Amino acid sequence: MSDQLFKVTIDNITVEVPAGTTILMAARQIGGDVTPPAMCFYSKLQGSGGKCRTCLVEVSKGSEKDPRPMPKLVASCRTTVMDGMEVKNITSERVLDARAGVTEFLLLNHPSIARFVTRLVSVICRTSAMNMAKKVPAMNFPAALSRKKILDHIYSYI
Amino acid sequence: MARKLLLEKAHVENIRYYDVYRREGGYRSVEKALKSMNPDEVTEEVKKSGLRGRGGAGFPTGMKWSFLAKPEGVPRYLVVNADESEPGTFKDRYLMEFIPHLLIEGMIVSSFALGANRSYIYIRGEYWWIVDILEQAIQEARNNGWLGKNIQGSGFDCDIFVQRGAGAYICGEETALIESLEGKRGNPRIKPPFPAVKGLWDSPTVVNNVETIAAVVPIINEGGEEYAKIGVGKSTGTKLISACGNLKKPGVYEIDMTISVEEFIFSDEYCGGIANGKRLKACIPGGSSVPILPANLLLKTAKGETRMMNYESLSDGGFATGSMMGSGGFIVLDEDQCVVKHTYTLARFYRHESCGQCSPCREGTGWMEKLLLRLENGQGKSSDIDLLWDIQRKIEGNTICPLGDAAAWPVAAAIRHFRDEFEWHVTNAAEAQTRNFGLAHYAEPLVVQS
Ligand SMILES: Cc1cc2nc3c(=O)[nH]c(=O)nc-3n(C[C@H](O)[C@H](O)[C@H](O)COP(=O)(O)O)c2cc1C
Ligand code: SF4
Ligand code: FES
Repeated sequence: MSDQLFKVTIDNITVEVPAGTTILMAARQIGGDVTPPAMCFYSKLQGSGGKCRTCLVEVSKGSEKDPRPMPKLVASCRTTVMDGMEVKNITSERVLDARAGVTEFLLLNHPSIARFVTRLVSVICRTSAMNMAKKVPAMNFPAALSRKKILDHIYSYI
Repeated sequence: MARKLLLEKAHVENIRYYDVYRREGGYRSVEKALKSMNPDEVTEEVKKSGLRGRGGAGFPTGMKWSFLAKPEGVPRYLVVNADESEPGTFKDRYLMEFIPHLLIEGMIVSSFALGANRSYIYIRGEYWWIVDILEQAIQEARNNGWLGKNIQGSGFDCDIFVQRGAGAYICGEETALIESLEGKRGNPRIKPPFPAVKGLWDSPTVVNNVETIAAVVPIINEGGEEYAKIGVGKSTGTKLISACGNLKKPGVYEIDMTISVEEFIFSDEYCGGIANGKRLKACIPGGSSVPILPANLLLKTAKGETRMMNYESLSDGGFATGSMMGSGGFIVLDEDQCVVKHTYTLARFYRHESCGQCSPCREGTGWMEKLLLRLENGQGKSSDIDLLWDIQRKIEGNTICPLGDAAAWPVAAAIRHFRDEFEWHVTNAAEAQTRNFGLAHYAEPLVVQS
């Protein structure tokens, strides 16, 4: 079973991974922009992930056998790949929108929002390997941020 | 006069006790199932009956049972969800309080069908007095040979245990319920694996609502096909509705899903109309988490058809112009009620009951509550309404369990249908503190029946 290889297509890039791999780990194999950001998932910690919802992706085709798309966005860190699965990450408007929402929710009640934005965005950028990390230190937030500014900021990075 | 199946005997004196219940024909379904049927036949009858889950989602029960994994040597469990915490829903309490033996009887038959030798009732902590009623009923059933080893000489063993919750709404969600039953914090699990494969103590488990399990009794007694003849289309059988709010006669009613919403609210057989001669403004037809509907959309669908009290008709028009059957908590608002305050109350409830695992629900419910409080207190801005819309949209569908959706839907529906009332709260902040908007504005297309 475990030496079986499944074909999975993420953002139009196809890889072959062993059965039982999660979408997130498959995306990390591809690397680059394709990798969803992940905040509560640590590959070495069993049972981690699934909570923060930053890694949501859209499954536009369930598998070769059952091609129906999944109705909801799924947490890529906890969803295992199926043979022939097609996943949309940054090519899906829905995913980007939901991710911006989740990021905003995460920032919402943080006491030192400015510092946290920098850190959060850097974490997201690092894990999503969006090649944005270089830009991060340049960010400097004024003490009082309007929601619009934060949102614009988040959108500009996702 | 509508046909009653569950509450037919509810008013017989002392029906709570075994002797009376048995004399009135109780435990016939157990006799029939254990002596003349095999488990698959019982499941088949339930499938034929078209019974749909009464806990909220309306998933066909027979199908749910047939999904149960049956690996060798692993026990299976039946868990009855009696954690009824949804604001506006109190039908299960009524059932358990007045005819506890009906639930026990249904559980024995269902356990037989599922091959479960240990079954649990997970009951809401606030129903402390019902725990005693159930414990007594179980003891009586055991003394009379309906529970324990080798029931009625059939070779089937079954025992029932009652477990009290500690007052968390989220423990009504099936995976959170299982966690709580295992002794852990009631955090919903990430699905898959579904409980039918890996539930209580990693064994296959079926979680069903109290009313669903009770409905198995008439199905076995009368046969699935007979049962399916009651009701219309895919809404078979009878449904308990707990009606509350500004009604002349609030209470628990058993309906056969062929009556219209108008008849249910205004006829004397049911709720008897709106109290104090007021007019109907809005209604939540299925417990607090389903969308609210203004009076004109409640009685007629967007297509102009009469809206009936059944699964299909109530959800006609999707969320844009329809709602859901949900758990049957029918909450009626009259012309004097403030939708903003009402929505705030619900938002406060969901903020309090969110388990806090996932970010959209944990943060979003609190944010919505704050904004609604601000609007209700007359300090809101008109941008707050759009902001609320944006928040609910970002919560819905992005969470682990459906509580996130349940928190988002009422807010979405209130803004969708009552936006002018929210705006009025912003523009006439001072007046909003003393008087309510609407004043039957939404009740216009209706005639008040005497
Ligand atoms: C937040 C939340 C709370 C719920 N509370 C209840 C409840 O109090 N009682 C209940 O029967 N089902 C409740 N449910 C539905 C259950 O998850 C489950 O769908 C139901 O028990 C299945 O039973 P049924 O198939 O008989 O409807 C709740 C679901 C959610 C998401
Ligand atoms: S949606 Fe809310 S209640 Fe459900 S798991 Fe997430 S935080 Fe908990
Ligand atoms: S990394 Fe948090 S949900 Fe996947």
